[in-house]
Formats: sequence, structure tokens, C-alpha cells
Amino acid sequence: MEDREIVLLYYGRNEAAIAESAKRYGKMLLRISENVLKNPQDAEECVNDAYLHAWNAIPPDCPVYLGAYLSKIVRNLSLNKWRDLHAGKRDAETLPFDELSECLAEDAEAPDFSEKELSAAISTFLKSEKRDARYVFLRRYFYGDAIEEIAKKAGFTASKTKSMLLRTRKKLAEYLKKEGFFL
Amino acid sequence: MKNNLDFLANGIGLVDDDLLKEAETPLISAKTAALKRILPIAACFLLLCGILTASLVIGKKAAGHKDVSGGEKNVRDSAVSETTFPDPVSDALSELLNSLTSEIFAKSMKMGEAAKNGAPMAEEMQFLYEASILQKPQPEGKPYLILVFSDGSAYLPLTEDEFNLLLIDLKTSGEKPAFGGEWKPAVPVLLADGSGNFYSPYIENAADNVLTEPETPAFEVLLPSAFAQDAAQIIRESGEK
Repeated sequence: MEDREIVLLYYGRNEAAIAESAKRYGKMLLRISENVLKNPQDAEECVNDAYLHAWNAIPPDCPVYLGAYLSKIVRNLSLNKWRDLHAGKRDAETLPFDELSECLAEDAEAPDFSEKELSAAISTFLKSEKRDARYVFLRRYFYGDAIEEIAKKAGFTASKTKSMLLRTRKKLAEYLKKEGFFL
Repeated sequence: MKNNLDFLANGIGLVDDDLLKEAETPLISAKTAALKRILPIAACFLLLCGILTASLVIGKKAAGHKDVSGGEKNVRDSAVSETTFPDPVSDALSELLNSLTSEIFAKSMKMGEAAKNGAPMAEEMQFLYEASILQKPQPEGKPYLILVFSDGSAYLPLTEDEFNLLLIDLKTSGEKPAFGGEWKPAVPVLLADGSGNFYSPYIENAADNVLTEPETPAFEVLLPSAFAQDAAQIIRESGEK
């Protein structure tokens, strides 16, 4: 079933909307969540919560790309859960996103802008990049994929993928600095 | 810092939907990925085939040349007889070509390894790959045609069209057909002296067989210039004799 038809099911308050969403995007959502939480049960729980969020938000939301819409929800829920689970712990477990710390100045002040403003700047930056760099960046920092997995999907070696990520991070850091974020 | 990092991670989590939609599709299909992995190996293999074929053709011609005073001479057109180059010239050229093929093979293996390790396939490698493809379907007896200029440059036609065009040029612009009525080149190596003249070691009187003006080659330099210089030296020495 196409995205548009599934969204119509949500609008009609038809519970088949959730089954169809799971059928079409269930695996992808579970992978996103597992990449963050590293725990199948927790991931499963987050994915189910994401369906519930979508059920409550559509309508009035009317996503064009349902996969992207659900991915954002599940990623956000998974990150929040991860932060809850690791709050106050001094464990060594890290997330791919930790690599982004080099985009921040060490003495960066607390942000005085919204996440939406920052996101718009990141989107603009990514759109100015080449498709392969964009692909590798998002697979790593949105979907949380492992380097080897990204390399396989992109047809690159792991070392090339790492160097592409490094370059893109540096460029993003420069871009954000230029645009006045994290000064 | 930690809060800022979370903020940044959340910001990435809100990027435009069209970017995410794009990222859902792998850059290359699974088939292409598999092909990309085996391509350098396949290229090396094909190149090796091409080189071996070329070596065989050259070897056969060198052997045939020595028997030219016998029956084989009659099989050829009467316009063709012994070369003005002494036999050692052909042998020396064969040796040079053999060393050259080893060199190219070693180089291609090195590039193949590099490609396997993720380095993008060098243009030169791509060229060698195409060249080997070109050679493979050549009917038996067709030459391995290399142009060597005494200024140190040397060329191998890249495409079959270029190859054929070159043969047509050689056929039509010569003072007399090099091999009689029908052009049946059996020339393993074609030499040019840098002044616009092409010679073949298998043509009766090289000096009388100015075949064509050299065109600006549209293809890349393939042979190491040391080889070309050695070849030019051989030509010069043969001219002095």
C-alpha cells in the first residue's frame, strides 16, 4: 500500500493504518531503534510507541513521506529512551552521534536557537553536499547505521566511508559556525 | 557540551523529509556492489588474457619471420618480402614487448589491489581494462598494434573504431598497398620515426613504405617511455646498418 493510502487510513481512523505502516516500514523502524538502544525488546517498545504517536498526530499531520515521518518519531523516542537509561551513568557506551562533538566549539554556550532552526540549517547544508556524502552522513547520524553497513550499501570501503564522514563533519562544523550556531 | 550534542543530534533528527526519503534508497544496488567488488579482478584477468594473446601473436610472427625465405613467403602477397630490418631487431622488439607486458600486468595488479582496497579505479586502469576488452574479440591473426614514436611516446588505439580507422588510413595513404590488394595486416608492431613516417619491420623496404601521416592520437599514452626510447634506438641502429 502506498503512503498516501496509508495516511488516508489514519484519517479515516482505521486501525489497519498501523498494520499497513508496520508492514511497509516496520523493519526499517526497528533497525533505527535497535541502532540506538542495542536491545530488541526496548526497540520493539519504541516502535510501538511510534505507531501510537503517529495515530495521535495524523490528523492533523499529513505526512507526504510516511517512512521519513515515522523514522523521525522512532529515532526521537529511541534517543530519549537511551538518554533515560544512561542518565547519571558513567558508562563508556556511546552513540554514533557522539562523533558530532567535533562540530561543536569546546566552550560553546547553551543554544539560543530552536531545534527547528538548527535542523533547517543542517538540511540546507546537506542539500549543498554531493549525494554520496549526504547519504553516508544521514545513514550514520540519522539512522545510526554501522560504518561497515553503510560502506556495503554505498559500495565504498569502510575507510573511505570514515573519511567521507570526517570531511562532512568538518564542513558541517564550519557551516554551522558561519551561520552562527554553537559559537 | 553534552546538551549541545544532544541538541545537534535532535536537529539532525528533524532534517527535511525529502533528504530522508533519498537516504532510504541505497546508493548502489546489491548487484552493482557485487560487480564493483569483482571488477578489478575481472579487469586484471581480461588484461592478462589480452597480454597473453598479444604475446602469442608477437611470438608467432617473430617465428614466422625467421622462416620468411621458405614457403611462408609465398602465402603472402608478392608485394611483401623480407624486411629491411635484420632479425635481431624483431627479436629485440619482441623482448621489449614481453618486458612491457609484464610491466603493464604488474601495474594493473597493483591498481587492482588498490581498487579492491577502495581506491577509485584510476583512469589508466579503466583504459587498460577497455584495451583488454578490445583485444579479446580480435579474430585470430589480427595484430596487436602499437604505435611507437621515436620522441618517446607510444600509443595503443583505444576503441575498435579508432583501430579500424587507423588501418584504413594506413591502407589508403600508402604509396603502394603494404600487403597487396586486400589489407591483411599481420604487423605486431608498427613504428614511427617521429617525422611523420610509419614503418613496419615486416615490410620489404621500410624506407619506401611511408604509409601515412601520423594523426594526433586521441588516446592515452600506455607504454612506458623507456620502452619507446629503446624501440626508437633499435630503429635508429637498424637504419645505420
